[in-house]
Amino acid sequence: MNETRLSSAKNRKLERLYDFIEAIYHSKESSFYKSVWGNVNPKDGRIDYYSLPTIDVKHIIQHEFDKRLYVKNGLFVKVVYGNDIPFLIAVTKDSIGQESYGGILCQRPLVSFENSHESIEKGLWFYGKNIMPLAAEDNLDITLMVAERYGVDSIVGDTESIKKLLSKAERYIDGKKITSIILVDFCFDADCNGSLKKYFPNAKITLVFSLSETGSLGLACEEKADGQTFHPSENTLIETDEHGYLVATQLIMRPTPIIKYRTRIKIKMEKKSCFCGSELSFSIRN
Amino acid sequence: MKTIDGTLYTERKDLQTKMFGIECYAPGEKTVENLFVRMTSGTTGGSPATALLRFILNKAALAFYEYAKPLLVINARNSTGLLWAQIILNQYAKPTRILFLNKKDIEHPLISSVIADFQPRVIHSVVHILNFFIDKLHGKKVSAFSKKITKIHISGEPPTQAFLKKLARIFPKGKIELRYAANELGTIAIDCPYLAKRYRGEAFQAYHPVNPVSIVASNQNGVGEIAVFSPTLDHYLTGDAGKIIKEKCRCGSTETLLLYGRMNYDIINCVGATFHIAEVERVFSLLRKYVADYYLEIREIFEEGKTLGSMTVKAVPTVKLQGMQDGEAFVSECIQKHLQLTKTRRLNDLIDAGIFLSPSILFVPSLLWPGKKIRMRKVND
Repeated sequence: MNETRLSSAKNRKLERLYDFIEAIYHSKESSFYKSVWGNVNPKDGRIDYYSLPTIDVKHIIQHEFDKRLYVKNGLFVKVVYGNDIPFLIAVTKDSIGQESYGGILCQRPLVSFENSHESIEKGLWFYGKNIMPLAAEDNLDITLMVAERYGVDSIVGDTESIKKLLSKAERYIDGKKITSIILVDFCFDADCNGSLKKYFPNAKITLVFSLSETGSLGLACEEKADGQTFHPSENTLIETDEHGYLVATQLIMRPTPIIKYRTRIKIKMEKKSCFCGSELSFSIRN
Repeated sequence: MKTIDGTLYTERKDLQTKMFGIECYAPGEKTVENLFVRMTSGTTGGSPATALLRFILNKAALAFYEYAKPLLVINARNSTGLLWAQIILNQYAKPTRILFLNKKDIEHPLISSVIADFQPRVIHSVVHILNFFIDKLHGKKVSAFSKKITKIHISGEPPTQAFLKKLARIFPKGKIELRYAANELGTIAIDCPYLAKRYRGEAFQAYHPVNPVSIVASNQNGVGEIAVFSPTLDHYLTGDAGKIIKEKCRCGSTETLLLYGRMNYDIINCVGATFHIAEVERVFSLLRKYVADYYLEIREIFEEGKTLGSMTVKAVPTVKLQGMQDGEAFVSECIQKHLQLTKTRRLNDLIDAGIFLSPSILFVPSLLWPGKKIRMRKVND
């Protein structure tokens, strides 16, 4: 019974994937993917997803921002750093809302990322759920003073930013009042997790595997709780290329969709059932 | 809190102890979409002022939405970036796109090509950050986007003539629109081309109010403190001096707000630094055996593609100072060493960083004070 249900869910996801690829290929707004894919091989009358080439950050940088937009308006545009050349990526309120950052366990979140664009984007995610976030400022003391006054009950951020918060948090906020921490990053530091558990003993810690350019790709398995095993998000397909690099596709209509996007992160995929019931998991290889 | 003529007013200092308006926040309700946490920070390490702002779709906001052009917001605060992103992406403004840059972004060596890729048409910023941004662009190839800017919205401190000339040079097609706004209140009033023409060269800025404003405790000329009514702060005293004139403008507005600057001239902003009167008085108290009376003139000057801060101190020397061989240098050194102008930097740090010039000290036999002693003024040459 369960197997049947899982298999039909898998089929629905595949159906959505093929529809999505067709829509992107025939879009009149942009020919970004068409130019990268070249001649596509139809299979059973549809574009064969598995024969499509991967794209990477170079393809994005080489194309002008406006020319790779499949949605032209209502865009929050962010600067993605971390490469030799910074580049622009856009999101819409709809696309942000479809990303998964775990369940909402809070009412007064502090959103704190090293890159301010990420703080704003995740802040918009909360607004989409009618939760008013507090965006962290560059000045840590000001951020924490305001956080205390706002009565923050949760923290969402990347490892670096949360480490900085931890260095001064004790002076301003009562760690016991924090009920949820969402760490959003592509590499996780076991020491940082240990410190978080110590200072925020009542907080549920959720690890979200995410890249600036793709958004959330997977959530850490709560059953395994090793901080290394992730399950792909509902709208995400995770594969590896021949060298073991993570390749992601998101079934979300982002202004520049993420289709077979090859990252620089090596992962190990596991296709057997997990304790939690998920069929697919991946772990980051050092 | 202060009661004037039977009305209870909130003041900035009240916002330093709690988050005003928090009772308006109902998590999970649709009303959250227009509610924002706002903060301001004191320069010398004081507690930040915090309040909730309920964004209202008023005339100013609607005018803003009409542009529907790529909007570049440049501001030091991420919370401001979040506010603009949230209101721009709501149902009223969907046909546009927004890119927010803060100080860290501006300092990236490749930021001008990133901005060119975005192709902004409208810029929204505050004077000191926009000034910093333009200085950072100096010597870089910016024509790919600077010539396409059609509108520049500026709020914050009143811009100097030097700054406006600099803006016109970088953005030759950019029509400048000034706004009178406060972090905790949002936009209070906007300018219009007829007002700008009518009151050109005056010692005040003229705006049309877009939020309910009144003048409190006015003098015989009708000048008093500007009070604004806001949904989260009720009656709020801004600390700014102003006057309201009932007059019909060609744009259709019937009310003009004249803004004279801070009440008591207690805060002056200059190239990102802030002169607080309490801090100035503290420093001159260290010099009380040497300086009997003093007056500061603060300017922004434009030199070699950069806006620099400049300060002239008119000082009445005591007998002790007159007996010193290099009294001017002594006073200048003391001010440079002690005057805190940003949260982390004193005047000498800003001079070393090439942001400020060394202060000029002018000894005068006496200072004339026709009324209350106004210790410092910003001079708009």
